[in-house]
Amino acid sequence: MTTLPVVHDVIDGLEVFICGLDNTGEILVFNRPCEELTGLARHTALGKNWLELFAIHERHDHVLTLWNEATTGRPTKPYEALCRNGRSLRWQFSRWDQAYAPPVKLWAVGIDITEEREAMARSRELDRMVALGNLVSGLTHELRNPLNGALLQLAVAERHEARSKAASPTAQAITKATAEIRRISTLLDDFLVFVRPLPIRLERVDVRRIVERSIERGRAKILAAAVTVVLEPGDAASAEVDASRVETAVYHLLANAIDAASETTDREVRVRLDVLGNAAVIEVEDHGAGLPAGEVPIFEPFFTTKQGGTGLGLAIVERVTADHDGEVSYVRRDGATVFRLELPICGGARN
Amino acid sequence: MASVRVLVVSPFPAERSALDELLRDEGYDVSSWATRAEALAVVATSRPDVIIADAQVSGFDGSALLRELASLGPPPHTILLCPRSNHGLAPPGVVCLTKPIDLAQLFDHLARSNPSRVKVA
Repeated sequence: MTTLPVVHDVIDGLEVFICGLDNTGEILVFNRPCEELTGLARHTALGKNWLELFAIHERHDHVLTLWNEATTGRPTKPYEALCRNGRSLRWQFSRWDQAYAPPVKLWAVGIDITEEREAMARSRELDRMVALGNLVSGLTHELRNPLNGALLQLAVAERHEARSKAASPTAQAITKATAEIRRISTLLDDFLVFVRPLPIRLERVDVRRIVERSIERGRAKILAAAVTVVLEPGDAASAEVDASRVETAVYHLLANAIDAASETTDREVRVRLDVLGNAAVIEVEDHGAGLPAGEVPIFEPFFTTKQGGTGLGLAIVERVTADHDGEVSYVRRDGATVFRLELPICGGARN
Repeated sequence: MASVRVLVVSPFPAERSALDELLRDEGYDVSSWATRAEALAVVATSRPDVIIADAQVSGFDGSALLRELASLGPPPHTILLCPRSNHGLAPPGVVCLTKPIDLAQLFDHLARSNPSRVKVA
């Protein structure tokens, strides 16, 4: 029979959990990582049953089967369990038939797989989101077919009505139904932007150019609302961003500001562009009523204070900004509502 | 002047019948069909000036329809009605309108593809 202190030193020095057990599972060897993991000093752990410490929430018969199956020189199938302190461990057992003091019959060797588990969970969650995104995207596209049919049929009905008599209740109903279907269509467009899990594509671009394009995109809305949008003069601001998504984000800020401005006498929206430190800063300002006081979840999907709003505009802005590792915020300043978008100049994107 | 011949191909009855009526109303000579095979049979015998086709029926991006049209002679102007915006990936010579379509835009494309067209209605 041999006792090898040097073996214990080696066991203690390894970054794996090692327990030597007798045939009943009583702990005879308990290495330093085990002490650190469980918070139990070696002398306290010795004599306790391994199952009490490491298989607390699990059914023991599964472990006992593994112990029975354990052979010398080859570890068993892995056994994964949650430890008392919330760490996930993966254990393997092997039988030991050397004469040894203490009389170890079974070695339990474990590794910490908490991070691995978490990464897997994150990856599964991401897969789920991607699958859901694809599903929603497919549905959204599929819905455009019946929407198109419905709108075209309404256009037919509208023509019939226009020929028969002016301003009939039916004509009004047709106009309203058309507007509702257009609204569904807008909702689908916004929703698609929100759920589509596209990776962002960074390129060095002039942010001023992006802002100009956003304004261009809002032209019809600007005209309809009889609002003026002023882009304050300034230098070009080059930044590494996903141009198309930032354009979408700025467009949504503009659209909100245009809606707000259209309800006031000061029908002006001002857009400013600046570079502060490492960030390109875009500010969109209007003199509308502003947001309701108190904590309002304005960036939550489907939260809206506007009649006819989809509640996705600011959620999209928030999503795009977060994907760039940027920040979006708003303040009420001298009767103006200012939304501020900060984007890292050197591609802070997280994918 | 004879009116412009437009062929509508769509598997969606509401879309097809409405387009048929609206285009007739605009003075076009319209025939409408549910499938690509039916439409191609028509093209083989009488050539339309313009084809308005649902993207699905024409092989997603219209490529299948275009290929088949090309085998029957110089292809007519083609307008695809797409359930998704295809970001300019349409084959050359094809106009893509995203559903739900803007009628004014459709009429505009029709007028532009046939500058000589005289509105009858």
